[in-house]
Amino acid sequence: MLGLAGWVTFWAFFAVFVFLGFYGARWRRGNLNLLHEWALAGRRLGIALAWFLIGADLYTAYTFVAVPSLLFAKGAYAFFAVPYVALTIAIAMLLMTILWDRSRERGYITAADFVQDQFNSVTLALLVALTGIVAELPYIALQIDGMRAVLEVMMAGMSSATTVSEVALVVAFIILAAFTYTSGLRGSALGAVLKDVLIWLGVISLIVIVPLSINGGFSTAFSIAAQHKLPTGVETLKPVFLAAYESTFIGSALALYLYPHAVNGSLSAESRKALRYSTALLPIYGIGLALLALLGILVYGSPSALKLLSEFPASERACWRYLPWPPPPFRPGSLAWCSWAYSSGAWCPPP
Amino acid sequence: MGGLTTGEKVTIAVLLLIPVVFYIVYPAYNYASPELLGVPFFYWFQTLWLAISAVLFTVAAVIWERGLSREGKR
Repeated sequence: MLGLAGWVTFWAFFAVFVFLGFYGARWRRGNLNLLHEWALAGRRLGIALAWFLIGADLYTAYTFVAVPSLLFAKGAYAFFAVPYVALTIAIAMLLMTILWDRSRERGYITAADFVQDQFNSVTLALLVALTGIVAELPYIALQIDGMRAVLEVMMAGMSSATTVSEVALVVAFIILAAFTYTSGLRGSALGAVLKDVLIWLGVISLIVIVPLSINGGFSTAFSIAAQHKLPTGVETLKPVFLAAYESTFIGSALALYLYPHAVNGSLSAESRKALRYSTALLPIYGIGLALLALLGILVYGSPSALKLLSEFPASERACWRYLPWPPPPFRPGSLAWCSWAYSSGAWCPPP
Repeated sequence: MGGLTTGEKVTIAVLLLIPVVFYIVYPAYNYASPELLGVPFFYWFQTLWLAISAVLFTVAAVIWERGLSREGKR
């Protein structure tokens, strides 16, 4: 699918990204044998870097693959991702600065340290740490799965695309693990800056170019989408999905800052003030997410994009497995929502 | 939270709650029109509220930090 220019661009950015990841070890040098230097970048991230790092957490396979594809396949319900951002940040404004204060005072590096000290229980701390690790596994798995989806589109039409993308995934994961091991959070923070610049460039150019390339722009795309009768509504959300919409964004917002990587990003801020301001500005990041989500509708305005999509099996197009939640037993949201998701076929059966 | 006056605490709480209440009172945005550049109200209005949230949260952060620094805390 990619032309020569596409591949050259891809490899150039890939090289820069890998360089930044390893260069992180030397950046704002600290003794990386100390856990807080490695895991929290020495707690030295200012407003901008903390904003980039935490904001980049919002931009994953979930943003680029799950939300637009959910909007494409199921309609307005997918826009829960927007209130989700606002609500999450309101919660973080309240809680994360308090956790930051305590952590600086008493040297906590993870949520488990806090729990151990606060409740004086090693068992509880151990359980919190284990829950964090277990919760990250499906999270990481869906990043890999999202990458696989992207690679498949990049190589659509090539022979042995499946094998190549499997190998590419393994290589990508090894590089990531290697630079995380040598550079710690510094590598991720530098990578996040590059990633964010690319994301913003991508979002802004897509949201300008795509509507312009469709005759009639958004109006056309929305009216064609309306003809497809997406199950949760196109121009508005069907009222019956109100409970689903709200319970999904409330449940997700309560969950996000329980993930170890979100706690970790927050604690790496250089001051409580830097964390408070960077957190306050995070909803701006959500605007890009909302624009990307709309691409799920814009697809309907482009016959060539629809044709490309039709070459992939329907089950690949909108999957709950890309959503940023722990596995079903831990999943927030109402029972009604779960059963709806299941019965409507939105839930992907295991392959 | 110590060091803030009651007025400051209430202001911060209200500023943080405004977007939350807006998004939960769902009929507030579940309309198709008026459209903006062909995008239904449901989509652009919720997106606009992210920008409004950032402004409200930043004002809350300023009040919060000022209150704390007045007390001579870090």
